[in-house]
Amino acid sequence: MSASYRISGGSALKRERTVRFRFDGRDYVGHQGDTLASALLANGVGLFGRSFKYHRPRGIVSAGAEEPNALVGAFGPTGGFTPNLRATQVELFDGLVAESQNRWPSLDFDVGAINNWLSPLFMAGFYYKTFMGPKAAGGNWVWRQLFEPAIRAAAGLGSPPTEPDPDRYASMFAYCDLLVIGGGAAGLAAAETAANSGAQVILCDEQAEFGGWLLSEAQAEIEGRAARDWAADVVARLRGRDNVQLLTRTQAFGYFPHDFVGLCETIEDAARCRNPALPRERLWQVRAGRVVVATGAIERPLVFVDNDRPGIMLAGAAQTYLQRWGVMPGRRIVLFTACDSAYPTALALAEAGGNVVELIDLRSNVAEALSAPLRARNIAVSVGAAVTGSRGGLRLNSVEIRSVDRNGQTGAMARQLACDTLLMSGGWTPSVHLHSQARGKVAWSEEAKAFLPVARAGGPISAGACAGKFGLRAAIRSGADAALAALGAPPTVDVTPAVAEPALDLTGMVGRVPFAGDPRRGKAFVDFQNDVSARDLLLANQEGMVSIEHVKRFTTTGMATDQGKTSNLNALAIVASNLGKPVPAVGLTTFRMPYTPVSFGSFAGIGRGDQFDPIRRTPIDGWAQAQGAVFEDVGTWKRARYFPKPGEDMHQAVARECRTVRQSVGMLDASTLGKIEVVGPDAAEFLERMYVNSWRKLAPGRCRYGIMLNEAGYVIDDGVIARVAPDRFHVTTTTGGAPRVLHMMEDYLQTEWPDLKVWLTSTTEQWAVIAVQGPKAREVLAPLIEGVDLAPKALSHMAYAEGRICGVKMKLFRVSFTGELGYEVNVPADYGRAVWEAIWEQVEKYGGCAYGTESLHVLRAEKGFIIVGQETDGTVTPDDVGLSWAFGKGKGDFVGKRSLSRTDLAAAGRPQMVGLLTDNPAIVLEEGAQIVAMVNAPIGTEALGHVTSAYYSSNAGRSIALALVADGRNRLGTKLHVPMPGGSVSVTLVEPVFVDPKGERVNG
Amino acid sequence: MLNIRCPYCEEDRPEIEFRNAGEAHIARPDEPDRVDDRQWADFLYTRDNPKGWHAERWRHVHGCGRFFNAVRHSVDDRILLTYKAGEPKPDIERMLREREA
Amino acid sequence: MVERRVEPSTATVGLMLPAFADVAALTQTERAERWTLRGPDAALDGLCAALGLARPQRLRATVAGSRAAFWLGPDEILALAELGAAPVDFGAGSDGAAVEVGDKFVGLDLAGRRADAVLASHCPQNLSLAAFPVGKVSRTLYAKVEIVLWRRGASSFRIEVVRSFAPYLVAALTAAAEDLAALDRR
Ligand SMILES: [Zn+2]
Repeated sequence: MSASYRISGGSALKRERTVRFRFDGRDYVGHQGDTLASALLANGVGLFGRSFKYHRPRGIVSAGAEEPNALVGAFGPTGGFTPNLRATQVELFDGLVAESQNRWPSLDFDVGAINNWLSPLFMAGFYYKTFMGPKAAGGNWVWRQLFEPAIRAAAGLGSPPTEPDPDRYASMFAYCDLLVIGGGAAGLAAAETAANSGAQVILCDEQAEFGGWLLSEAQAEIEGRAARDWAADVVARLRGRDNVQLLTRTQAFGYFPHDFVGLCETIEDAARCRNPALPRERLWQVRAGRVVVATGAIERPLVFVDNDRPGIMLAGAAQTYLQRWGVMPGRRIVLFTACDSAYPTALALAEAGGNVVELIDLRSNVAEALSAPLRARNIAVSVGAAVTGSRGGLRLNSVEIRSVDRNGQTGAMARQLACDTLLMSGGWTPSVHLHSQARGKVAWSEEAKAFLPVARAGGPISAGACAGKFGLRAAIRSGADAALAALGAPPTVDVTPAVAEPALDLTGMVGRVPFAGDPRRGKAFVDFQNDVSARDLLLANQEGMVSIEHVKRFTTTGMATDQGKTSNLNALAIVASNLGKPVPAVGLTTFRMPYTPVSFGSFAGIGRGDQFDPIRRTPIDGWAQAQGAVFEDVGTWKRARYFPKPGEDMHQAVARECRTVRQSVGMLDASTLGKIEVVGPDAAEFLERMYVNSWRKLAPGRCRYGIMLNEAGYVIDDGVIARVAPDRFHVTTTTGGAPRVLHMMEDYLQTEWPDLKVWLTSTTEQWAVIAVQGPKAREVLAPLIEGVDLAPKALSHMAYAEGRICGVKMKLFRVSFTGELGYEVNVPADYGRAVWEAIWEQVEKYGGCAYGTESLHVLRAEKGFIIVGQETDGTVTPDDVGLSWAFGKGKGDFVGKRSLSRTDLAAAGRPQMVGLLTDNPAIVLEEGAQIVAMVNAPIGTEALGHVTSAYYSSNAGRSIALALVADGRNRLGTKLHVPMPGGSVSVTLVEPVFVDPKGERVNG
Repeated sequence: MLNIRCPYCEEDRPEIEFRNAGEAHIARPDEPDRVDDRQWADFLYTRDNPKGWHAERWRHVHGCGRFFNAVRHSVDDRILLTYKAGEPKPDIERMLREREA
Repeated sequence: MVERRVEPSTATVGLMLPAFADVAALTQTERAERWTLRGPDAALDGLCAALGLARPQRLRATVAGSRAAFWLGPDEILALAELGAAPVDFGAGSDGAAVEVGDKFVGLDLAGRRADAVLASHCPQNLSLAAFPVGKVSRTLYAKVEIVLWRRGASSFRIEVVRSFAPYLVAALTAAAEDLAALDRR
């Protein structure tokens, strides 16, 4: 296929390297350095997609990040698919496959285009009105099943990828003295000025090469050289310095507090073709001492009826395609401008051999110096005239032109001018996005016809076109000044290089181009991506919307993925005109990050799959894995849930494990238990204040079950605490609660009781913990232990001792969470697995087993021991769960004590923990199920409580459950009902103990 | 991400090393048993939540571990100063006036 | 007399970083004794002295032979010592605390031309030599886990991490080194 619009030139192209790619199923050839947009334009492809709402054919409007129309989906070098990319930013690589969006079945013939003829339906507010749903429509089957899905399917942008993202995403934190965002004239000058002062500088630019408009400039010369050559010289000098980090293809997408800026660096696809190990993107999180924003300006479209036909493009974009990519945008070119910058564009196109027919200027007064060179090239210049319409199918074929008088009235006579390309310029809008994200204020400048950034002490400094400093010399000067100001250096003599450039007025039309007839006829598009036209804005104003924020949401103007980069100011000006107000009185909508969309992958970085969060495993985990244990997540820990034997399901395995523990012995990996060593002369006093229990009189070598409340009086943690020495306690916490408890303890120590001499250390991971539980526990351990007398009298229930096991230093707790004779062996973590295996050899001799967290839960429920977070939910007091016995007698103040006397916590009828026995012993209740007084209670019946734990107990030979029931202890022996989908289940309230009610076995 | 000066490390550190711990200078009553339900409820639940300068607690939880206080502007996130736990609440208005002068 | 004797198994941290010779090399350090020392300065002076170490100043380490003490906070020090030396007697009844944490942490050495960039990939602190000079130590974060970071040389770091977080940390360091290796060769 011939690249029929490709001419000579094109500074970005490597002509000697051709690149094959595919767009919408057709093969094309471009060059290295092309974007998808430039290569397709060079190939004569003018149609890039269908519009969002009306499915109108659309072509390329711009050459950069602001592109509203040419959204494509593309497959990257590793096969990953990304929708909603701007074709203007997709760099070609050999083998690129891309497709247009929002068309079915094909771009040329699109069924959805019927929306264009139904457009009265799709006027502003259509979606809100429709999906808020009139009641009648919402209840209508046909509407819900047929119309709504069809409308939803027809709307929207690209499709999400269906496969997992195959790419890698890198990350980097960076610090610098000065971050310069934007590598055009101002940014380059700022970076070099700062670099010369020795500052650490990061310079980033969203494009593949630095230079900004300098790369598109056709006439201006800097120091006697083409503007782009001057840019290349500056970049080469910066590259040679070690205090400058240069980042191309890097978008500053968000400006966060304290000058923290998010950059997304895209790795060149062509490089990734050569080396698939390269990440696709790298997220830079930059903390900058100061920031210079040099993000340039974006050209505005002109708002006239049918201004969206393929072939209508921004004038500056055409100049960029010509200069950088050697693309002539059409065969017969007309320009329509309200601004000087279109004149050099017309000249450049003509000088490159383009057929430029006429330039229409909305303004009446145009300097002869601007128009004379065009006329000299036989380009007609019509001033005081406007394009008021266009014709064509999938490509423009003519425009309608009328005169415009000084009052903005269009003439009665219209003429048609044949052309396939219309280049428009409605003036330039400074890109104040980042300044605004940095909470900088903007102010309307009547002179610049734009909102300009208002400098704030210490805030980012805008330079160049984004600060209204149009023109290369002004931009370079302001960039250098900004760098000096940012670094606190005194202003120097003007060292701005000599710039030869035409004096251009870049302000121009803001609002709607004068038109003839009814303003509600025809679609003069303001927001191309969201298909919002001038009449939609008018409708919004007529319906009573006067705030720009309301207009925005009602019409969706500026709410597409381009966030209205080309449309916002035109929309504001049109609304202002409709309301008869000046532009600044209408206000400005918020600039939100990201500047252009950023991939989820870039934010996720390595945080996906197994690296999403740390997966914590105990020292004994490998043994459990080898035994075929089934694991469950407990917080970030993996814990063995049960150890199935061949052929066993969970129910069978748990039943066997629970029976074995009570009949013989079992062992559990309890290493995840939180542990805090509390040391110091005031340790007992501190625990006295943190727990409901008494600690002063607990003798060294003894343990006690502790309950911790928050200040509101609710149970938040529990665990056994051993007094190791008069000034040293070994505190255990729940697995999930360890960091929270330590944080809370530190809080009280540091901020409420700094006088206490107590020091805390987390020892959770220092010790592997092996629980050995069951009537044979003593026989199992005895042969392995030295230095501790295991005899019941010497080491009774709730005793603590230190000794050795298998020669390894050991802390031994005689404690039980099963109600059986039990021990918890603590050894340094590196010895955990070896000691476990030694105990396991003993356990096997007694026909014992390893058991997991599921059996742990059943065994403790059989005894009515609570689990914090299961029986408690943050609204439960110790008395609610039957733990009043634990309160220290005659204690002073402790955390939460005052709240326990609040009326609602002391009131009768609070939920209280009870046991439940189902009439049918085979039925295991659902945890969380509600409990009511009547059989088959109607919906809305107030519940008396809920089931907190429910299991099948092989030891009790039936189902068991724990529950919180209002006034439960007074209801023991009565029947209540648990409504379930299959009908009510009748239950009897009992004491919450199902095995060994006298508690004798623990003393075995 | 905020840049917070830890008064113990005496360095600016990234916000993710810290954890916010709510409004500062809410002292736990010395003798909780002697305050009435209303006062106790205020201690538990009543907070200022101002639009503007706000003294709040932070902990350098992934750094030195210390709790401290910061005066931060709740609208634009500027931090006027940070100071150690136990130091009195600064006169914010005066500081601002002095800064202006 | 108990017959059964067992040997320790070093904490496994998963895949070790292949030697990206041009980027950085990661190695797991030998098992060691460690203590968390807490208390006021006077107590910390004594606890450090028991190890033959001077008390480290803010954000710094002190070293004596193969022993080291890291300042973690105004009342917290992490001390390290080689295994097998004579038992340390911290004395009793001081106003501070010494708590054994030898097996709580895993030590990693990261060294090489791009060691600082491997760390900066996921550590939010400023790791330039000016802001994080040789000899500085700080508790901080690497991706989602807490680490203690000690700069031993311009391109050489010691990392201490709580043992169950080590596999995550090593995988994250590995990914960062792989990315840098590819990006540097661009
Ligand atoms: Zn700190």
